[in-house]
Amino acid sequence: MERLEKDIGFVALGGAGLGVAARLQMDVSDRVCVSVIDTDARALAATAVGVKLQAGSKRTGGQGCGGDVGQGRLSVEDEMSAIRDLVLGQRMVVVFAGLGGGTGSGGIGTVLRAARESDCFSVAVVTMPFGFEGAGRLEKAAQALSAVQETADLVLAISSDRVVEHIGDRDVATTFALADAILGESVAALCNLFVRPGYIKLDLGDLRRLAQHCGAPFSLGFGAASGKDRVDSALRQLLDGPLLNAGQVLEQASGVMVGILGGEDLRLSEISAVMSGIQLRTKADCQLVMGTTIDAKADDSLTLVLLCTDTWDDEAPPAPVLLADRPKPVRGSRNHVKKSQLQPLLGLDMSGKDRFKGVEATIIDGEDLDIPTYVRRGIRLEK
Amino acid sequence: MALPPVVGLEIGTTKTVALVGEWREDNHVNIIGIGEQESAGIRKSQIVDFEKVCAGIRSVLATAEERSDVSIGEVMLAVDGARIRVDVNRGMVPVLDKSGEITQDDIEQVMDVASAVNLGSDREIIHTVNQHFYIDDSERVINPEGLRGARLSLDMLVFHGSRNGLGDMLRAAESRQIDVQDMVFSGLCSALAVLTTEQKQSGVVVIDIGGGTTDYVVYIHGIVRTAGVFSLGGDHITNDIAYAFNIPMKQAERIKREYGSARVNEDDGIEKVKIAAEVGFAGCEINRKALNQVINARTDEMLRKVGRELQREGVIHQLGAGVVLTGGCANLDGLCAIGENVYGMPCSVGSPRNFVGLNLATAGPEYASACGLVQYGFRIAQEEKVTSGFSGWFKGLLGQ
Repeated sequence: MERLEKDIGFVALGGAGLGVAARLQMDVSDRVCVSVIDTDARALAATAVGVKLQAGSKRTGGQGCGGDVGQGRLSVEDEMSAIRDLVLGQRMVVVFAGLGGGTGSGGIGTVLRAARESDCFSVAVVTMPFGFEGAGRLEKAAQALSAVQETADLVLAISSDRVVEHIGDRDVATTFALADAILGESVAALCNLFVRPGYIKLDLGDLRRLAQHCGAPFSLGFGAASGKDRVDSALRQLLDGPLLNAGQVLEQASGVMVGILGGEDLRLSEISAVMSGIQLRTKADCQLVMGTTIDAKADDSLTLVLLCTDTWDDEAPPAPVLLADRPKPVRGSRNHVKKSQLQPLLGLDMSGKDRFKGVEATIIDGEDLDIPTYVRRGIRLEK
Repeated sequence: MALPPVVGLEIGTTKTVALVGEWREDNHVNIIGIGEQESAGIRKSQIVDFEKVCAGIRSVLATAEERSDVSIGEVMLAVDGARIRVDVNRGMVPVLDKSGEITQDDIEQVMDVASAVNLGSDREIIHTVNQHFYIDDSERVINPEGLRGARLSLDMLVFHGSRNGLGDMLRAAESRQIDVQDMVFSGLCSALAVLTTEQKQSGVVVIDIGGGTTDYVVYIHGIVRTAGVFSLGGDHITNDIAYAFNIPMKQAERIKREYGSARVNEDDGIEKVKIAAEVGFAGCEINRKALNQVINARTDEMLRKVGRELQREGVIHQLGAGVVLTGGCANLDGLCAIGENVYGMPCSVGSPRNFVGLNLATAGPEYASACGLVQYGFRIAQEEKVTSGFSGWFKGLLGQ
């Protein structure tokens, strides 16, 4: 498959992913490689996204996997080598999926794993199902989310109900179009922060640090406005809107990242107004990072994107040890392995590989296969 | 002159087996003695407790000697483990004879050249298997003797392993004052024991899932095309079960064998499996469906890992005779069904062919590699007898 050399890879999965990817492609810098993966051949054919990957054509005959997570997972796993090509060499990979269905919930883990294998920073952006979709779907989504948290470096979880509340009561078609727009624009804004020059730069290191300290999924805040009152209007949407639960989420937050996107007419006083507006609502000891992006096309408008989470762990966990790089016990000197070498291994004691302590771990394609398969695949046992 | 008995020794992760076999005129091997015992001190086919392994070997050899009434002086040794790799190496020599007729000397020479692989100092060659000879880089032939050409080339499959790992195994085997005649990759032994010539011709993969490792050997058009090892096996299934239900390894192993299935049936949900209490363990009940879910996930993954390797090697579409499963895990209920689902081709369990004697040894797929090892030993002995020495293309054909 053809993939251009770009900085950020955006991979969207499943039905929800298609709409967002199509929308995101309009807003995003050309240094972001946009691709979609779906099991539904017809839906895939209808979208206008650069790179398309049809998964599971052998298993499902291109008819989608009908909400079956197992089918979704297997279908996407079948395409592992193509997915590896997609993420190879990227600095950051953003994976989007609507959880609760088949392809998204089942396949997202595979894409994240591919990202981890090729050593790039992975961000998972997921939407949780609507309340009216029923408890079964919510349960499925919650399970998928916990599996995603295991693999992704940073997780952004968005409630579909809140997005719709943000939009207001419109007709169905408009609502979905606007929801795609909000999600697409926010993720595009996130990506743009890292690839477009913006005077106040936010780099991957900032994001990495935020992700290391914060264990729980992040929430998304969004506000966009244009014209004279754009600062007030965008701030109001962001701080009082339903996405952050009328600012309550922000008030609890211990880690916040703010992205400000504007045209060439963006003024420093506006940036300062936005930041002080946000700081008024956050805790005093909140860790705050920010960045701006200037885009000539966005003249007259202002877009604010905010990520926040309420857990902040002062003791940063040890830098993530890549599975492939883990020190291997030296043959014949098992008893003399230095303590410091053993340290990173200790964290894995909970992962159920008791039996295989002391022998070389079975690591294939960056995955530690000594850890029980059902744990890695996120299968819930019917105990 | 009848061939002397051959002793095969396999030091597996689950069990250590010594088989004593006698050659019969009808091309069958008669197993006249067997020593077997649960292995200790081995994880994933690597020795972790040398003394325990040696003790196990001494004991199985003693039992085998006693039962067969044969004094064991030398053994064939099956080797396995994560560090075994195969590479194809091509050697080429000019044909010496002026008329261009290829002689036994040319063949020996090209085999020498092809087996001279430059491996790292920590690697050691286990054995080699010929693939194809080429005359003047074009024709593929199995035996070039007597044919004419200017150059003779040979593709040779070289099995090599870590020098330390192989050395440990060798030292353990020789701890009881015996000689190790030859080392053979245990996956290849399994294939030898269970496959028919027709299967090898139409393309087949033998997947041997043992306790610590999974070996595979692929035959296409009658020759060994490729092979490999993964450090994944039945112990992983057991460990997953022990972890999932918080039970000791011993109990996990038992319920895996007695109740486990690689298939998940919806009806299993209502059924409970009772695990009796014993010292240090309170006993419990587990859901049969959950048990099978754990096994299903692991076996599916193991077979998929092999499948991906077959895909990488580009052989997956050439396996007309499908998949043959051997090793202890082949006894697991539903494994063939999972295999058929993963590979989309027929799967069967392979048991040793052309063996008679002790019923135990001839019965199950878990003895495939030990039986194949004895067969391999007899082939060497036969060729030595025929060629009165150890030469020519015969040795290269042993694996086939």
